[in-house]
Amino acid sequence: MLGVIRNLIIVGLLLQLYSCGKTEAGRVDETIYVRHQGADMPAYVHGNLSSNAVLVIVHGAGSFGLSFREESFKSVLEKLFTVVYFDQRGQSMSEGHYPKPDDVIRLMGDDVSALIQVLKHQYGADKSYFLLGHSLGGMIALSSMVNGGSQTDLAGWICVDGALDFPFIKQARKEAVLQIGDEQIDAGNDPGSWNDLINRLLSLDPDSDYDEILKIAGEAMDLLTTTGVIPAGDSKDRLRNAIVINNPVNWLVSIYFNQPVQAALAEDLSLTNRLNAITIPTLFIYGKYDLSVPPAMGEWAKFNVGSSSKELLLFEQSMHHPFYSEPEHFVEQVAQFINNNK
Amino acid sequence: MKGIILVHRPKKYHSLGRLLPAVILFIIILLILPAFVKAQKGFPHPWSLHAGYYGNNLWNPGLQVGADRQRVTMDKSRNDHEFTVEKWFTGDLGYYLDPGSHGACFIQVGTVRRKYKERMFYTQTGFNPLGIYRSILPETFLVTDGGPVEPVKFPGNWYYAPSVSWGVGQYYRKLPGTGWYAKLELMALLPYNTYVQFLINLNLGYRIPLR
Repeated sequence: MLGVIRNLIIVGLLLQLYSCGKTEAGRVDETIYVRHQGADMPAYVHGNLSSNAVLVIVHGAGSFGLSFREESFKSVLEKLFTVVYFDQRGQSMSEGHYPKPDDVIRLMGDDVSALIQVLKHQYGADKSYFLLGHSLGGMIALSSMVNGGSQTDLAGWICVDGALDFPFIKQARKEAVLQIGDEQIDAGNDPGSWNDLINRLLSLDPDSDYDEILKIAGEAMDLLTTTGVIPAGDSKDRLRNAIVINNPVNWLVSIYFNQPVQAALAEDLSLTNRLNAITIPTLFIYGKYDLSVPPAMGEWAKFNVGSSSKELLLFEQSMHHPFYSEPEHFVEQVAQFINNNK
Repeated sequence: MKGIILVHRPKKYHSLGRLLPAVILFIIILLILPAFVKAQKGFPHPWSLHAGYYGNNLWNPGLQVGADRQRVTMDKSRNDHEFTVEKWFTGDLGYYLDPGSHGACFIQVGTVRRKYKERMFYTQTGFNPLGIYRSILPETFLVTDGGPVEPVKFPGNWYYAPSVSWGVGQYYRKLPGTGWYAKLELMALLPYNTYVQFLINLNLGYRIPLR
């Protein structure tokens, strides 16, 4: 019986080679896995292999690497650079066996450092590697640089709506909803609904009423969409990535059992005091209407980061996903940053 | 009429060796465990084979083959409705490919209960408490803290994989045991990451008896 299993594994490996690896001259489309500390994590590598710049994407909480791979990424970033979409430990298609970690954010940061090592081994140490972390992925990328030592391997950091300081975000979220609510009332955009949200919010305490404030922030972001302040996203790629390209069952079950953001929240995790250790060029991108991680987080991060080359871009028509709401502008800014620093 | 059970002894099975070609010998091997369950001495044990499409997450393509060994047939009657229940031991071998990320092969052993009504269809529920699942990963690199990057040989992971299933099938009265079937399967992988993973699989196939 073991022989049968072994033969099946060999046949399977041959099929895998055909299905998951396709590298043509100047172009790469392949999946490789990184094994680190008991986890096997897929890195989906697409794009221009002849480029000397590699963009590594670290997704946020409850997401998956390929969720970023929409038309703008394929038609612009993958034409210019090699783009690596990474499923982190315990998320989406990552697998393996390991005990529940004591410090999951730090371990996930170390996983990203391991990924960079593998990419350098596989695609060349002489290339320029850039790390793009979104939301919780921003904190994981930061941990990778300051705790996992990956900064020395990187040419730049792009922090998109990065949740770098949970105590700060708690306070800033309530203030951001109140501020945007006032603006929308003045602009005459459904003032009744905004007044209702503000009245519910006023008596809440950012520390003890975290969930309720987050819920109201979510309703506020829905209101921004329904009143047309933020254009409603409509992408066939997004649906295809979520259901067909990604395995939705694996993704949903993984989210249920592995929620690193809860660990970060429980610890009131903050890495802003480590930002001064970052010396590589850094680009902060935040959505002006992001009520999940308000743009004040970006301003505070830019103030604290140790890089001499640093910039904060506010996306005027975006909430928490500027790469969905303003995709052309987003990839243009990312490409410009990489070209300037590779 | 409630609860009346008539137990039939199915036709004696014979000449298995002549009927099974060597190429499907591995399917018999799959059934080693059920074969050990010959508790009832002299119990007749007809066999059937099945094969079909195996769709992980419905559309990740795969193949599943297996064999069943009959345990018991019962005619039952409940609320003036008569029906037949068959219980089988079953063993399966399968493979699927998730083209973007991984493949997997698995072996399952368990039982299936088929309930026939007057119409030419049956429903079936299955429980496979014994299952082994092996993921097959593409090129994988091991990174140890402070160590070099090393390629992994035969990358993938083993999981204990019990499953339950529910489905329907077609029943030819003139040729019992022949016909198509469709079933949905819920498979658990343990331990997966820190806890468990569930897979939802579709199985469409055809069954033929060996008598």
